[in-house]
Amino acid sequence: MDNKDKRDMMPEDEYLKQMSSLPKVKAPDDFLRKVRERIEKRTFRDRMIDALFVPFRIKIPLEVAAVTATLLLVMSSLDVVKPSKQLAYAPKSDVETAVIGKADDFKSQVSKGERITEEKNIKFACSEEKPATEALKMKKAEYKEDRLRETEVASGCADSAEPGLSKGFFRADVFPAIRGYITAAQGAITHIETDKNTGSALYFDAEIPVANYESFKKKMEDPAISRYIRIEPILKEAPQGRNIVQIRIFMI
Amino acid sequence: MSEESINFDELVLEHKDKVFNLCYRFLGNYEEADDCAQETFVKVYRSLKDFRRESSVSTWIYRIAVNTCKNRAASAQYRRSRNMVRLDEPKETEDGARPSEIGDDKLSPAKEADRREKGELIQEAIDSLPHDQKSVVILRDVEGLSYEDIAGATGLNPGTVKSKLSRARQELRKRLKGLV
Repeated sequence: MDNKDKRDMMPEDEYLKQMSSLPKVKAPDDFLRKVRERIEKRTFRDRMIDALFVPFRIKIPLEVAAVTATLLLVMSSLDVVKPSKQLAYAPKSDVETAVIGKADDFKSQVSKGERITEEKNIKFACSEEKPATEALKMKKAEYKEDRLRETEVASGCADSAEPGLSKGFFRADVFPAIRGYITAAQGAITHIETDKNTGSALYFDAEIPVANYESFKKKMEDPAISRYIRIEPILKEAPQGRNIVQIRIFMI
Repeated sequence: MSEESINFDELVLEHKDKVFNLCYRFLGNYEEADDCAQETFVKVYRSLKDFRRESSVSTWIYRIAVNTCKNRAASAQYRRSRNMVRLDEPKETEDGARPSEIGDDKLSPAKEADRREKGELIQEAIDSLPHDQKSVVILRDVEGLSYEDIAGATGLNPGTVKSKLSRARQELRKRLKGLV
């Protein structure tokens, strides 16, 4: 700072004197009260903000509710809750076996020993869908139904089990039908080989009198039956003095 | 009333005039100074439990006051109000009364008027300074704080405080040459 600059400025001691002599401005007498009011006002506003953002004790249930709602949303989107919906996405073959019909109607008919035709099954299938577990029960009932009809044939009710070669002829109907034809041809079943797991016939041996064999064979050629069986002659010597044909019928 | 609130009241009563004077010199307006000083003590109240006594209480309060004044001076509302008031007009409170000053009761009315006029000219010169220089010069030359306390109150290091004070003084001395 040169002398010219110093000449253009107030002397430092004069400056300091002027600055220190500046009057001190006092705060108003009610300053403390105003500050207190302002603090109370602020506190009330803070309380309002706290109320808006929910106190801690209510916040936890809200969080739980939010998590629960999210889980429900995720589960519903993944179809975990409704098993019946899983059926809709199942492969077609599974659906066909699963969708059987009204369980009560089906069971009552089974218990009465009433014959279930394919038409009836289709009718049931159209009436109502059942979950997979229900369908499994239906399959078991169907198997019981087959066993029941076998019993009927064996007990002399073969006529009622006459297949009639209708379109409602199932694989399960084949064995009782053949058994009926064998009986009608005055033949006899000499051996039955069954599946150890299911109990259903794998093949069976029969003896048919020669005189009745041709008519029996014609009945076996019916497509309703022949598509389920394969007949092979048994290569063993026929018993002496007996005019019979020995055959083995495979279930296919 | 709790112990904390008693201490706070004492704190306000002890420091209110210094803080008010600082706010008035910084803002140059009585109403703004009143509002700013109140805001300062509200901040003090809210921060009292977090005060770690790393500096003295007065330095801490000054620091809050300086920051509050800087924020107020930077606000658009304050700038608008400054544009509406001429600096050469006598500053009055809302009800038309003059702000109370600690003066010399023995001064004659003529001398009192002269002193008041000088004060207004000095205030106008202070108002023209940048915020940092303004806060340093007020704390040092008006309030009489040490360099260390000023550094604590402004957040500047002592070297910077000295340089800013030097520049602020030169500016004020130039402005006040021949006026006072």
